[in-house]
Amino acid sequence: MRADVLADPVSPDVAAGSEPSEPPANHMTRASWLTRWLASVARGLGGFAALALVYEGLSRLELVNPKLLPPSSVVLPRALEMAFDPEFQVEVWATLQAVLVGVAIACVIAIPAGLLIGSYTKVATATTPIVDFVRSVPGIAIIPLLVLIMGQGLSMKIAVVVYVTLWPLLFNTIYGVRGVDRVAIETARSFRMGPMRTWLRVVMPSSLPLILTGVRLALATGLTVAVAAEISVGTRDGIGYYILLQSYAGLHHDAVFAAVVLAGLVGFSLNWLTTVLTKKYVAWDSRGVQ
Amino acid sequence: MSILQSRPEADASAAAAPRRRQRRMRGPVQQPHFLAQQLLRFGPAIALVALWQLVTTLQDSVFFPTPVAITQRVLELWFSSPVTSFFVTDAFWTDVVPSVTRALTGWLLAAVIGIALGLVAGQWVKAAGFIDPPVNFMRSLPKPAIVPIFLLVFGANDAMRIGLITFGCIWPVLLNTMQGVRSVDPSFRETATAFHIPAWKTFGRVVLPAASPKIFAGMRVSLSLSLILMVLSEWMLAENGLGYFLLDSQRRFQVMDLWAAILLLGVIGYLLNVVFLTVERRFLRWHHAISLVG
Repeated sequence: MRADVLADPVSPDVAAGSEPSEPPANHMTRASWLTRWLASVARGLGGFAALALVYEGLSRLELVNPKLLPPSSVVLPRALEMAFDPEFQVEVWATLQAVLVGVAIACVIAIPAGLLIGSYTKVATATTPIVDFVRSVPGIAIIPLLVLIMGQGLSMKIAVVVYVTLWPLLFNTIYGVRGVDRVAIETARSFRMGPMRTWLRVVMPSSLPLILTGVRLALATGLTVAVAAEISVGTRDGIGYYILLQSYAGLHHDAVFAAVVLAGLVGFSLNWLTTVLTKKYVAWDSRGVQ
Repeated sequence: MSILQSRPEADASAAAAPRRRQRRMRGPVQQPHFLAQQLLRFGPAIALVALWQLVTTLQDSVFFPTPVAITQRVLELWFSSPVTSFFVTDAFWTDVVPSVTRALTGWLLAAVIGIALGLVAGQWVKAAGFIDPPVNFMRSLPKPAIVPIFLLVFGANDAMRIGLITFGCIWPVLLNTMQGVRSVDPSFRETATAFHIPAWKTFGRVVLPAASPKIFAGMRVSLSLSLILMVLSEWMLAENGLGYFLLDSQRRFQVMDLWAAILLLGVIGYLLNVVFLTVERRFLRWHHAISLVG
């Protein structure tokens, strides 16, 4: 993992104030990077295969009626078929839309707020009781209320996603800002950079790894809560709607399991995508990649 | 996550230490400063609630009752009995107690299973590449999507609800325990080997304590997750609990009851977090002491 990070070329823009830049990657390191990447993918697939096999075994033991708990040899082909089914893709997109818009809005609120709270101790003291209390309300609990206020459409889903993803983004930004090298900030001050420019050029770049970690966590929780909203209130589209439809109306358990697997894959690939982006853009810092 | 959580705290207290020393030297200024500190801490929160009260009173909307009215409703619903029954009403025993019991049982089970599995899996460093992707996949399964499966397999009973909470809460604990065990400083292990300390003793006295900050961080994430899953599990064919109360109030269009339940859930979540942090601080006192020095 470490070696992969170092093999990436470091752009001079973001490398300011970090470790000395690495020598340019040549073909040898690129080839070894590729084999290492392939090896890690193969290991991951091996792990997945083991998981599928264990589940297959569990299902074949027939402790539970196999119609209720279909084995992976039934679920996986069904999932593959559904992944290319345009009808199911529409549902996935309906959910993803709510997640992406919601996380984007949460970023716009949480990152500036986090910059302020992280930079000034007084702001932190003043906001801690409010944040601690509001955060304690489980996001799912506000769904029934929002349904009454906003109806069952996209705006309700987005509102829930915003509420839930605000917290990981806020806390990671705060931690990121607090972790900024004191010397870097004092250097900026001795060059008479204003607070705005210090934020943009010093604080933001060096807290970026943690902010991106926050985005990664936010996407995962956002997906969870969007599906929760769909299942609990009966929206007219989305992965949750599809699962609900198949499990109650049709009793198609293979389709339910396949949809759950695909929902997991969507979450997993969002996670993977942000990890890759984190590695690419903040390769100079290993805090974001864990 | 755990590193992210522990580091800034350590930093903040380290940075605060010299300032505190200075203040002590100045002496007499301490008293007003303390008051100002309390005002700064709670002033904005009180102001916000006051503003909320003002706006909702002026608006007089059906959907947004005043905070005073919501608090009154909470007291009326759950805490309006005489002293003989410890102030709690019958509704408290059907709404709040089953919910909290389910959440905590599920969470404790998840912690025990997650830590046990994580300790074993974490020791086996070479297997990391095989174990982590499936575990990450299981963690990113949207938990609500699993609810119908648990419902189909277990039926609508407490086993299904606690099982669901446990299933959802295991992954953060498991991942953090594995990471914690893997990131134990190799020199600690080597030192233990050099002194011929038996493996089981090394495990209990070196590996487990060194991994415990991360384990606690994972358990804290799971604790808030357990409340979410508790509410979720009680939406499906339940006859008691706060989740059921929420859904029932929604069906009856009782906006005030919805707000009351949300407020109560916030209080429960806040209290659980406070208790957990107190326990954590007690257990990890040595860790904070070390990280301040180092």
